[in-house]
Amino acid sequence: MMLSQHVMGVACLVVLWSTALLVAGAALQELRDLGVLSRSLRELVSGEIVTEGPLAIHEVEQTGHALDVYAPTIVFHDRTTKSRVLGGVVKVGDDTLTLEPSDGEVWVDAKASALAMQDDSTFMDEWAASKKAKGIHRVVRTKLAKGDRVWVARDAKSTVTLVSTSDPRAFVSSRRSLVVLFIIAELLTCGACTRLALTEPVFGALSTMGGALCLAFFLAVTPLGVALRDACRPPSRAQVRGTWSVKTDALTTQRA
Amino acid sequence: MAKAETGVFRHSADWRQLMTVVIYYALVASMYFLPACRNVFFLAAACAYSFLTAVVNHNNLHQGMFRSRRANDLFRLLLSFAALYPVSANIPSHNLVHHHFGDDGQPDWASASLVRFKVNLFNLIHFPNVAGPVTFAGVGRYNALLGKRELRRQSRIESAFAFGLTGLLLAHDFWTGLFYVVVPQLWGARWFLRINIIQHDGCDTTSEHDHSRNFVGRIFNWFMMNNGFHTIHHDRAGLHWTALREAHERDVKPHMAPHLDEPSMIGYLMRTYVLAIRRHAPALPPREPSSSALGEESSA
Repeated sequence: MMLSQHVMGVACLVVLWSTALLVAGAALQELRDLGVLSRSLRELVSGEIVTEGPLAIHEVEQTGHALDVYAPTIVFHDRTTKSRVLGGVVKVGDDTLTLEPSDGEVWVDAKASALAMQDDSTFMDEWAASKKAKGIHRVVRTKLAKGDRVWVARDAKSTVTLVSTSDPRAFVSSRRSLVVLFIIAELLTCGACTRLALTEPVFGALSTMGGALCLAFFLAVTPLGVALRDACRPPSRAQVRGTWSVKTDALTTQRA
Repeated sequence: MAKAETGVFRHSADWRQLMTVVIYYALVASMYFLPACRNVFFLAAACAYSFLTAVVNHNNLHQGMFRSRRANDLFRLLLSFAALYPVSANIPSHNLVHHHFGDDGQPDWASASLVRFKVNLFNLIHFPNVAGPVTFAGVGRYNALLGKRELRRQSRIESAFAFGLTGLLLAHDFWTGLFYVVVPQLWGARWFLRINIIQHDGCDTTSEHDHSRNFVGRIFNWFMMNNGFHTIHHDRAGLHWTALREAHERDVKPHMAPHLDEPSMIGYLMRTYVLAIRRHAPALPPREPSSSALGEESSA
């Protein structure tokens, strides 16, 4: 059975649209997860930690390897992430709220903690170790302690489900907008590429340009879908990664 | 099992791998240059052989089939064009990360838990849309590390050959290139990514013997160069493909869960993704696969 250009064109458009719809479907899953998260924030309160010890801890275990660039640089990748609510007291307005220990999530700015723990005076030793296959190991630990402002979400049994250093509703709202925007833009772009590919005469110059754009869209839309998925990860499980390098004059001092 | 020889190949049976690639190239060239070959039979055969070439690609990135290193490097160029990506990417993504699943906290870039549609067929179709970008992002980070200069160089040459030749064919005749070159290329590469979900979804990747699903049909494995025997391949990645069936029978079968030996892949696909509709296999442990992981050097 011979295959005409029209038959192959239709088959390719079916594949293109299947992919576009599946990527949009996966984005809808993110939207659904954000909805579940949003509903869990109904009992949200905000206050200041008054207890002495850490109220919650967020840890990211990382491995660092030397990057192959001119200036000595270590690049980190995440291995495991842990959240622990240790319990304590939070002052909410004129009241106090006592939190019991739980497995609730802890949302912090772990990237800031990672930057803060980098002691440049030790960089050369760390960099030398990071050149080995095993790399270097570190734990980015963020403790929420006295004086920190936190948002606390609890479930119906008053178990703490989330302790955050930023308003989690803002995160949910921004990510919801991002997902909706992505779905609309993705489907509109796919539609525009398809429209151009179907311009008469089909397989003429304009149509060929549309076909090339359809191929480009097919190859580009999936990494964008994955980027969206990563952007929707709650801060407790977001990628921290990071790099560590020092200025050349500091290096000269250390080498001396 | 084929014996090692002193000729061009490390193992005499590797002629089958070479012939697979030759047939694939012949099919694609026929369709591109001869309008009479643009039919369902040629296209279906080209797609099937593209997938089989991806199997050859997999085998060769574990163990180059030629005795000459230069010949292996050149062969990688042909494999890169066949799959439309630099096949050196398999070294970090497959050999170093996938073969270790989640060991030592390293999340697998091709974990079955990357997809979570309720309709299981959607998971099968969508899987490369997630696993592909996650894998290439990880490969990019791995290749940027110190000591990977040679890998980067090889990867650049492979990319130039694969994308350059494909680009030339598209520039010469866009629609013919798209329909009869790019479609088979992507078919093979994407189905080979799907093999990860087919061979591991519902398996216990933390288990010593039950981490993989095996497809044991004889005809299937003749064409697949014994890649149906996946458990033993994970356990002993350096074992030549000709030795996999015997090693599976001897070292794996007595210890593994019997249901992980499937007589037919087509039967399994029909049962799992068409007739079942919903994903009934238990999800893998709730480890969040990360697109940031970098494989460490290891002996996989």
